Amino acid sequence: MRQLQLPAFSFTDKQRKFRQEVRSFLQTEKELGTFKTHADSWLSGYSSEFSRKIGEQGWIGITFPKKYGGQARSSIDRYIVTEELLAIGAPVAAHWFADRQSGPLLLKFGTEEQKDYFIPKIIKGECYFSIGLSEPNSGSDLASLKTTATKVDGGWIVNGMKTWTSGAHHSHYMITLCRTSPQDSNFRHGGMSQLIISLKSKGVSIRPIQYLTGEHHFNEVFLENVFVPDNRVVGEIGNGWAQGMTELAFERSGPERILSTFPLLEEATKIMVEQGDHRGLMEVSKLVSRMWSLRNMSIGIASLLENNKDVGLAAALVKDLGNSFEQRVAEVIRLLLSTLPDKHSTDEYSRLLAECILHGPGFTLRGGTTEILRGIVAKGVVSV
Amino acid sequence: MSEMKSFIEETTEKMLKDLSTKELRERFEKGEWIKSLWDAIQESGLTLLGINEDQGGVGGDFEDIFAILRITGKYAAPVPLAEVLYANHFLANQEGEVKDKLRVVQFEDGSGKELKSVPYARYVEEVIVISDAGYKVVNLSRTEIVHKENLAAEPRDTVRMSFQTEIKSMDSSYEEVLEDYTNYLALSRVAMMTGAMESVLALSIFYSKERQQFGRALHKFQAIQHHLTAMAGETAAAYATLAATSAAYKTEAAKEQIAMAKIEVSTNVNVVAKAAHQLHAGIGMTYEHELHHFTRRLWAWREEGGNETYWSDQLAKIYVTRKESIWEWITNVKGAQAHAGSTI
Ligand SMILES: Cc1cc2nc3c(=O)[nH]c(=O)nc-3n(C[C@H](O)[C@H](O)[C@H](O)COP(=O)(O)OP(=O)(O)OC[C@H]3O[C@@H](n4cnc5c(N)ncnc54)[C@H](O)[C@@H]3O)c2cc1C
Repeated sequence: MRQLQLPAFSFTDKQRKFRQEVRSFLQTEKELGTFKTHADSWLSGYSSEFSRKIGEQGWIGITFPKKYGGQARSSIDRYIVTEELLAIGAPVAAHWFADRQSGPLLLKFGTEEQKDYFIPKIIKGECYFSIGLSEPNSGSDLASLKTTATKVDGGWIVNGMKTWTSGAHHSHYMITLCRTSPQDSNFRHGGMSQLIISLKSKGVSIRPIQYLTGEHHFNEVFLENVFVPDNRVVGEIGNGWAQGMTELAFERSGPERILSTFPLLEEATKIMVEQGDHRGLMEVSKLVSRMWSLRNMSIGIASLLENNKDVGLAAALVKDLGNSFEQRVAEVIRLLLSTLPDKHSTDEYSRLLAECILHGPGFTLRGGTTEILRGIVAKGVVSV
Repeated sequence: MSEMKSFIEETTEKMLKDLSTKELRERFEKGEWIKSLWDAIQESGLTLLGINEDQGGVGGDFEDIFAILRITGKYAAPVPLAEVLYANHFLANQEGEVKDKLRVVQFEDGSGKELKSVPYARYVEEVIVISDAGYKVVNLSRTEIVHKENLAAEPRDTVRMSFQTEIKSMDSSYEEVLEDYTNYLALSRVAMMTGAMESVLALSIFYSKERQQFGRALHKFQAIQHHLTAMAGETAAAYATLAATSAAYKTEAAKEQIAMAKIEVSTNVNVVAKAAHQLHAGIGMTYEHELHHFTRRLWAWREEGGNETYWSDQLAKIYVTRKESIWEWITNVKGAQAHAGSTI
């Protein structure tokens, strides 16, 4: 089955040098106290100051065209930046969705005006996006969503509610999937459109939903008669579902599906090496082998994406396997190095372990639950 | 990777698909050496792959070899190709030239009299016995062979030697050759397991579409979809791991990558085997159905060339002595440590 055969990829010397450059920058920033290492930092690590610094380096939207201020570099270079940011647990949540999803979406489907307006700001690390998909009654069954946009003179009036919206309290915009024509049971994926809603607009109210850690990461977003001008429609009216699907392979197969708990693994290993804990390191080696193997898959996909190959099936597999791996790291490590996991601890190991355990369940939910992904994969494999 | 890789992959695939059938494997298990299959493999030059032409080989490299071994696993070919290839390579290196023969290598454990777990000994012509003192070529027509087998009924015989043979010196130490062989065997088994996993997946997909219960094909049931996904995931992971590791074979990073690949694939073959048997239920437990040709090999091969415990032990030793962090090693970029650790 060809779709399951991902190629080996080896980084060039130039790419390895670039990795070193990114790493030493991050290392220096960390030593200067700009940030502290956290697990799952792409959900929880918010710092607009840090995002701007990364923007100054040219590392946000690194693949975006030069004419909008990007560097037109390869998706392998983006892969390198993303990996280094996650491995060191840097606070990347602010610009995360703009870099990964919204920017590429606008470049693909947006108007020239939209690109000119948004892309340079995204690249500078000054313009943040949230993803407005889920609603109270539409989670996995996203196509049943109820938020509606009604045509008026010069634009659309949006009414409805989004929920679990990560970072909406910090973001400037939300790409909102909503219904622009009535639900049609014969064409479940039709009639939906993507609108860019400014979160400062009249009629938008954002209420925090406390995460189980007590922290504030996601929100409810209420939309009451929010006016969205015509020039803030992304792509074609009615084509929102299909447009949203195009970036899924990037979204599902990236390093963030493997590395959310890596800072814990690295810290624990360091301690075990210091202690000469041979038995512990034997268990660590199994985790490292798994991580390496999933990374081979993920990079194989990245290299195929660079050549516009269809890798949807393999990408869904990386997310499924990667998310399970991320969870397993905490479960294995906690038995190797006993401690009281405490998210407020000044001991880094204890704090990271707490973060990994508490954030763990979310890994297999966000971006499509395990159950849903497995359905997609199974349909894919029986159809070839 | 040599240019001929995709060509020999294709021709080998075609050859084994035609020749390495269920019926033939059953004959093999009844005690018949399948000469026609071995002859076809020899004639196509596969037993001399990766050996330079001026040494009597057919060219190519190790990446080609592991690509071919994957296919032998995919068709559960009852032949010791991996072992013969190594023995031929060994002789070509030691003697500058090699003539093709059905031969394998084995390491002497000190007793000097008995060799355990010799692959296919009952069928091979000679064993190259490697010891501290050097190597000797033992003709097996004059030895006592006790039949033993692994879980997949592949011969792993005991050979008793009762005579003296000339010992020749080697260009590397015993430990170096043993390490080289262990690495090779491990990655061979990774390749073969990857191929066998592909077949287990294919059989499972086929059956899930064909078999109906409660008026629906099995694959319509969500619990079955989870089994299919688990198999597809591990098969894809094994393939990517094999691709990466065989590309790095003979580089500095090889040993650690082989260790990781063998740990990974050995651990995950049972995810695949277990799900496949659950999905096939009763029919999969019969001798009649060919699923066990692949699942028994998966269970056998995960032990050969070092199992997870063996390789974890090796890696743990490396971690303690190595100056790099995991991240530096995984990314193959040294310098600033990605994660400086406990400084708060
Ligand atoms: C940390 C985090 C961040 C998030 N950020 C965002 C965000 O920024 N923007 C956004 O739009 N959403 C976000 N989400 C929401 C996320 O996408 C949804 O939680 C997810 O899609 C599941 O929807 P649900 O929670 O309504 O669960 P439900 O769909 O109600 O599912 C409940 C359970 O039933 C299972 N289930 C549902 N349907 C089926 C089926 N057909 N077959 C088998 N099992 C099924 C599910 O797998 C799950 O186990 C976030 C979620 C988390 C945890």
